[in-house]
Amino acid sequence: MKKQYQYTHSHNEPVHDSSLKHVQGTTIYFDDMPAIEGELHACVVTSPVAKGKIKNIDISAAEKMPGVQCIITAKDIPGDNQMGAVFHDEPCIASQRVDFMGQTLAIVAANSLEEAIRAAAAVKMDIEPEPPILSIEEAINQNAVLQPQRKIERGNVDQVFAQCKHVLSGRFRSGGQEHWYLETQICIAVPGEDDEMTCYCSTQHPSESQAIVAEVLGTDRNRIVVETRRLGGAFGGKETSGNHVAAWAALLAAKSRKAVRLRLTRDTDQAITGKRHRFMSDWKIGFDENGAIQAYEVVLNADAGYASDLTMAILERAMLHAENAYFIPHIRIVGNSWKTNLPSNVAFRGFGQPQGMAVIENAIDQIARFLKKEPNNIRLLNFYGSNERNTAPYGAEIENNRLDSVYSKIVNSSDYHARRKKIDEFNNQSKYIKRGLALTPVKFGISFTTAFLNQAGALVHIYSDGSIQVNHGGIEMGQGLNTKMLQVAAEELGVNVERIKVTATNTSKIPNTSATAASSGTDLNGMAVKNAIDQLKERLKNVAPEILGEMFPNKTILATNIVVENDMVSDASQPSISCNFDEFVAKAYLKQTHLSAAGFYRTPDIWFDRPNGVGKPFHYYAFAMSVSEVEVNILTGRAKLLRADLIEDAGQSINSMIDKGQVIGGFVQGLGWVTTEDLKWNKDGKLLNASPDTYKIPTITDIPVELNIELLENAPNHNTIRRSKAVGEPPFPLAISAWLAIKDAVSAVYDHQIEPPLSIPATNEEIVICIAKMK
Amino acid sequence: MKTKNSISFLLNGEAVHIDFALQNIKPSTTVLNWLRNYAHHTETKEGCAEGDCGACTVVVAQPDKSSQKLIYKAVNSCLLFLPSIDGKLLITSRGLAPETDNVNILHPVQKAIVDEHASQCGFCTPGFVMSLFALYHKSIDADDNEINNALAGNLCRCTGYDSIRKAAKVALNDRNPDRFDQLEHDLLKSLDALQQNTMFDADCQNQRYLKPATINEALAARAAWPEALVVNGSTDAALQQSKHFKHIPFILDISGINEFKNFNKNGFQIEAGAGLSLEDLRLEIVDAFPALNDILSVFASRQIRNAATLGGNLGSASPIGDTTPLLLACNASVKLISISGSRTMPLSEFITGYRQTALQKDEFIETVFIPLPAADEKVKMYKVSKRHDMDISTVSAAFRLKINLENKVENFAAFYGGMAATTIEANETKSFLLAKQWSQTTIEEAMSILIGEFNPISDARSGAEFRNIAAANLLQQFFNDTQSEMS
Repeated sequence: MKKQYQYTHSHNEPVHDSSLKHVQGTTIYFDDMPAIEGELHACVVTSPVAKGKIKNIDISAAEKMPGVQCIITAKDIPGDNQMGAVFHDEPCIASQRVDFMGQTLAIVAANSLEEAIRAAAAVKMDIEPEPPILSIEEAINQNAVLQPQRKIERGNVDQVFAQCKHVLSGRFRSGGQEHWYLETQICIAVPGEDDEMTCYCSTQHPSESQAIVAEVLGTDRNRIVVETRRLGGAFGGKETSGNHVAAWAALLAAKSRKAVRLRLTRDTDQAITGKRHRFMSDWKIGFDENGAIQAYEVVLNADAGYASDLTMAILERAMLHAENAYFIPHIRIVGNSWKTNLPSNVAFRGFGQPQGMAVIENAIDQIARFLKKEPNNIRLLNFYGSNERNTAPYGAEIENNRLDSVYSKIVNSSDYHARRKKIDEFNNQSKYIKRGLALTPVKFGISFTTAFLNQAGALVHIYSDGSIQVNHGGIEMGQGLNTKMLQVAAEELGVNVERIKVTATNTSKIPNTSATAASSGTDLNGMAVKNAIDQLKERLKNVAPEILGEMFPNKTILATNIVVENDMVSDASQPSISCNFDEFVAKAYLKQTHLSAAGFYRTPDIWFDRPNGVGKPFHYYAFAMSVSEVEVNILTGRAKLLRADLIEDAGQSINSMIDKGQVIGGFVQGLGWVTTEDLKWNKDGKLLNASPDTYKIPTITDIPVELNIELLENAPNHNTIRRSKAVGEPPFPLAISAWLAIKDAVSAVYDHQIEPPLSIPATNEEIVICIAKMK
Repeated sequence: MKTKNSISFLLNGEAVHIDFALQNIKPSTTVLNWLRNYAHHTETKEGCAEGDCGACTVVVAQPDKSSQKLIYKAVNSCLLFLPSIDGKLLITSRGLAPETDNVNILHPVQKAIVDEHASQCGFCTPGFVMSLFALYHKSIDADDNEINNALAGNLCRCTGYDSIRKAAKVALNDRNPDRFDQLEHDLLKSLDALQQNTMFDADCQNQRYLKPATINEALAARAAWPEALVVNGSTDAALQQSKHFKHIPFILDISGINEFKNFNKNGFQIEAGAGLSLEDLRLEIVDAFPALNDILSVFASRQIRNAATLGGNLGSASPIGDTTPLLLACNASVKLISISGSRTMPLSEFITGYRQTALQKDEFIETVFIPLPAADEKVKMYKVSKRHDMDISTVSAAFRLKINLENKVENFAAFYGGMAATTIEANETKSFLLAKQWSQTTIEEAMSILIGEFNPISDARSGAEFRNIAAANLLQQFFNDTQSEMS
């Protein structure tokens, strides 16, 4: 190896493998790639009405605008006019009718972005408007069902409700959420020969982008290459939405025979892409005088937007987490998906779990207020057990339950009980400023609930200079996946990280991949990388007796004694017999050793029977808890998070600094969802918060000065890569503790005598109106 | 009149010369687009192109009044027209250190971000680096508040900010002279060599761009071309281009006029040049006028405040107004200047309607006179916004109160933003309160009057109901604050 690349370590762990480039700005995101000669800039022409029949799209004036090179409408699509990820109900370009404001009606490529955008404005659209459906209630009233209802049920729910001492019920709402990745959706499509197309595309799911590009172009997947080096944030927002931009760019590139760069402006991105699903849930809970839950029924209504996308999988995850951390003997979980005239809602970190979990956490809070008990006592009483009371509503056992140990840890480390007392005292003295405190447990099932998706590939090359290239099917989007893959490859092979390069994800290197989603990136790709490394190690061991035998004549060397450690290939039984990795690899090449291996992994033993709502959908569970304290100004509704304590069960963490970054990042993203991130539409279906001046994600001042984060220690996982646990999504719903703390503070206004009708998000407006309703 | 149609500046220390006509560059090209599309400095990112995310943050440095020291300011390059950096030093994240894969060669703010694992996707990181770099060069103690204030204009969606805040503390804790301190003398010399004091006048791609060097040139230009869009910090005007993709045919850029940047204060009043940046103004009045400091501290972000001006804020006559409720409550007045003279009028007469002012087509706002509250007056301003920082007010209110020895209201003013098409005075509430006891009972009655006094709209920020309740509640908040001050 000619150059020693520096992978910086800090706090005793490797830092993100791009961090030195991040701080200098030398990382290359798609839009930083130099223009290809003749490259065009593209934009979309979108519907100004939320629902209606398309009577005519007239591009004649737009085509004559300066700089315009190519305009495409639905009739120009050579292949299938479809870009639905699972169900084919999402046209690539609308042809007969429009179903949401912002739906694409035409795509334009011009010499510059400004010219494209001005030409787009000149496209004449004649659409006969129809009254749109803009809320879940309206969708229910009009029976606008997306897909058939789903159900998970255990026990005798109705019978037990009839016998419960107490029954509470209510309707709970949680709002949508815009992903607000810093890098907007983008694809640079470069046409080649024989219908080849290379797409540099902001996608968490290159294989699906590849498939959809092939379908709209009417060609085979073997001609389409999707390459993604890194994403400037994604959070689920590029799991399917990236496909759309890829399809549009590829269509324009195929027609114009020029490279096309389609980067959505921020406002367009916010206006036309799907969001987290809004939920409206009707719930009923039965319990005894101690707060032991006997029966729970919840009907989860998800706002799908106009098309299916991943709604059913998201709804399924909401249903599979509707009981959160609690054993509930009699339970009925119903999931409904509703069509509205809004962009089709998509994956977003948590993938329905936060929406499902928020309902029961609110219900438990309500039980505590009703019984005048400390909410934690209700939680503790109902936690899943370790040896009994440990079966989920869908029949799977909650294995290796760590709820109790996490709970006792956080109650201590957060000094919960003493602070509860102080807060009560504070609230007694303070009329306009109220404080609140809450603890929230999380149990998060890890695996794609669509079992076949739990597979991954890797391709590892050892070059004859001793340098190693690791390719895998996962996408680096900031979560540190490539850094973890570097660590896994280095540790599994016994070499230094410095000799390894993890490359851009490319569909021609790893085919048929699953999305980097469901927190599964490290679990799946790490195992696939390990599998490839295992094969290579085996080959190196097998050739070692020959190579080392020539170097150390007259010694007996057995392949079974060979070890690779610290960049050396050695005979463990004879310490003097050793060769450095570079030299060994050079010799192995001369011995005609195959130095490249494709790795593969599939998660074992998981299944889910949808019609019956039973199965073992998860490989394991991740556990987490948080305690949040807030201060609310009841006059202005300003809620300030004063302190948060977070504990996450990351198994045996591969990189604790990266994992802590995920936990805090997820928590703060969740904090935005439960506080300031508010989506409002006008009566025509126009999103009013379609730009950062009106849509507010947390800033640095929204995080508490005291933020304590801990990873559970000595908690190795079973049967996962380096005994770690997934850590991407489980921290997100920890922010529900901040919401419950706000509710606690609001409840203190009337000395906890009245149940606050608070929804998610608890914006300043929601808080003040809630207090007004309590009067 | 001698004019020039090119600009010169230093990019990370290297001289750059742009001849707009020759290179066929539109004069109002933003610094961001020039960096990315012409100079291939893609380290500066576009996150929103409207000044809300800070991914495009760069630092612009120029000599202070003494010409002996460089002043470093973080600004949003997406809202900055190229001619505004003429004669200045533009710094990007690639200019802080030689390009390196050795963490020890990085600038201390960069190194701290690496060491604290404070980047994830990395897209926002160069912007944070530049905001921190500007803070590194600000010779004040960087406590938590200062760090928050310096970074509130940079959005990060990955890290949750905790690691970034740790990195900021590490970097600022042990401040040693950096490369720019070491090169300061040379940089000052290079910048001095670029100064021309000549009016910039470029006409390219159907756009005329004038940037006068003197006030007389500016006044003459304003009179000759009243159709030109007057810009100073361009934080609002640039949106027409960056967000709405509109072509601006004629721009008159007055950011080079020093006469608009004067500041004077005495015991009775503040005289603030309309062209003074809001952050410069804030630093001048921190102690003299806490209520103004309070509102300026949550006025957009530091990057915006470094560019935006008080004149721009008042001239835009927005219904929210930001500073207007307070300035109206203080009976501020504005001095307008034109080639044929000047006139001074109360701010209340200057603002004539929704985004309408009394400004004539040949006038500029030159100075804003802000009478300081008397010692026996209480003045406060409140802002209600969905997010604490970097958000536009849903409702804002400025109160001014004088009570006599019998605890009766002798004088009262309440001006609200966000409740009507313009900043508006709560006249009925005022009439009710005058001569009443300043007590909780009075306040409760006043709140019931206040709640019916306005007819606000529902929009993206909130519904009308919340606006009404919050407006009334702010009076209670003001009452509470007067009580706690008195006790």
